[in-house]
Amino acid sequence: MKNFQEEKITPDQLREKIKSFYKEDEWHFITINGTDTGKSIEVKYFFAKYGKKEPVYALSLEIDYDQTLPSITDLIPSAWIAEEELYDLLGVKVEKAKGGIFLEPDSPKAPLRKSFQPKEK
Amino acid sequence: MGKKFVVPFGSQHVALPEPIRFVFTTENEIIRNVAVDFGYVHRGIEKACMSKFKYTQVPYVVARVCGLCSISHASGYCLAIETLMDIEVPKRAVYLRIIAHELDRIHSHLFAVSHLCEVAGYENLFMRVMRDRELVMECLEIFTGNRVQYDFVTIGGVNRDLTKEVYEELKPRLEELEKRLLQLKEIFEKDYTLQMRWKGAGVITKEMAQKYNAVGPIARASGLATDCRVEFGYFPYEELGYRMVLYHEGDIWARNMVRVDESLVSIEIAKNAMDNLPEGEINVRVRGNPNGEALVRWEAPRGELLYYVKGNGKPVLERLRIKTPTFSVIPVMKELYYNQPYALVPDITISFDPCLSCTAR
Amino acid sequence: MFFYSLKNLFSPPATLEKGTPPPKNYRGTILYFEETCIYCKKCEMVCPPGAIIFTYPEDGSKKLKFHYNPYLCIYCGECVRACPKPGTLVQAETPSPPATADQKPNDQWFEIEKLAVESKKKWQEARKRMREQKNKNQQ
Ligand code: SF4
Ligand code: SF4
Repeated sequence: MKNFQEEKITPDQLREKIKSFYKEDEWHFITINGTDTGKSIEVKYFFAKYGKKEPVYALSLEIDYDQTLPSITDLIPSAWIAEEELYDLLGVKVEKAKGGIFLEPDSPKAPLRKSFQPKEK
Repeated sequence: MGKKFVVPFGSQHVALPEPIRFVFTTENEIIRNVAVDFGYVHRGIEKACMSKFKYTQVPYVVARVCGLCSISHASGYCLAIETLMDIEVPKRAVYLRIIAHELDRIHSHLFAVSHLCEVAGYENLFMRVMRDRELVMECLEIFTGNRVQYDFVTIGGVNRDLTKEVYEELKPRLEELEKRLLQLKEIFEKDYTLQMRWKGAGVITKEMAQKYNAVGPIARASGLATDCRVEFGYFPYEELGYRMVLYHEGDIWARNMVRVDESLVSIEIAKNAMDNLPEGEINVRVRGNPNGEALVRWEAPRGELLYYVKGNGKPVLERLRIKTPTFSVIPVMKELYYNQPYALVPDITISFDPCLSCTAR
Repeated sequence: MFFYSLKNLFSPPATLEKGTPPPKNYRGTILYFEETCIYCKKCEMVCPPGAIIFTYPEDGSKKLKFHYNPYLCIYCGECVRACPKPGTLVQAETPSPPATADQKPNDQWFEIEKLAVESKKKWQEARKRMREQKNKNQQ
């Protein structure tokens, strides 16, 4: 059973949407999650309200493998770490993300993708 | 204007238990710029859970994400799967989970406190806190059958029951621990050296905590009232005497005191849960495969832990996402270093109780 | 604090002496009793690290051989709970003896892992032959 509220948007709407409701003293930004669905990458942004027993609110969008995702670090400064993770582990091109934080330069690229094949020993 | 020096801190450093690397640009010992790198210990646990292990085996895998809060990881995952598959956990199992989880919180917090004392140069107090922590370690060993990796929680319940004998072993130990913790609290409140060292150092204001979405004891030390035990409401904490510990100073001292006070609250919760343990089964059988998605916000000792699971009707999950508490506090940690003296760096870092193997997973 | 520390100088250590037996209900090695086993392989299937492996006899009989690696085992007890025949797998309260280098625990185990895959193939072939034989006999 799904226990969070979800709203589907497109990548271009993302920044507008977050600007419209996100307030620092009301909302707690949890993290960004990326899932490889096999055809595209599904990205979810999770938010919760401080001190309220309400279901988690999620913004969900889908992007193609080579599409660029707009960055939200100027709206939510702590999002950089989640964006770096998306870049490193799922190979999503996020604006402003440099990569190289979760993985080292000689590590395998984008290990969480479905197409990823681990090296044989 | 002094000359600028670049001083690296980490990835190996005496104050650090785990590898993280900061590169500070300092000017007259004051930090002007910070670069951070972690992920030295990326183990690919998420990938393993999504490709190699069946969902019933995953609780034992995710318990290995972290040595100090393994119960939090296993229970967070199990709760997520139970929500997803609509499994009703017996009440007795819920209470047993609460007990294990609170004991786990105490030992993790005491570890953080002692480590902070060590970094402040107070070896004697460090040894003393570690000695007192031994009591709760013994409790956990008797209760779950192992000292570090408990493997206590499974999907649908828990693995071991709390028998009368175990209860009798646990109770005096917890009472003794409470007494010792009160003594420790007095030391932390009165000790002149520690006050000089910690008060007013590394202050996170409430605004800063909100801006960078701090979690757990770090947020609560800055007066930001956030606790997943209240907000997510997964377990009946309120009826077991939970109260939120809130400090407003936001400095190293406050973060330390939050941990000491929370340990005291945890002892109370654990004792209440043990006394009011409902009768009944301790686990239910699970059938079928997960299909759909669910998420759990779990209050681990270090703060909010997020488990997101997505199944597609196969025994192996499609996505498992672990967001660990330290992952959320690294942004505020990085921001905090600006304009602090370099000499405070070890204390500030350790006052966050960072757990980097979790963060890199 | 000062007097407490001074007292500590003369008190016995807080940690346990070396050689203290593990407490009651300790999670120790897994013991296997073959007499009651029905070779359902449930224990092999649930074991998270794969510390239980069955190898197959070449003649196609149902009598599989049980292998257990105490150095891979995490002592979670899943196998004991999964077993449909109580008493076949038992969790002892003592830890496994420590591994030594000359035992070569890893290499032995890798061989068993390989053997399990190979012997399964042979076993399946033998089973097939047996079935064909049976069909022929019936006709
Ligand atoms: S106790 Fe756990 S790890 Fe050990 S053999 Fe049984 S299922 Fe495997
Ligand atoms: S689960 Fe029990 S009966 Fe089945 S193969 Fe394993 S030991 Fe034998």
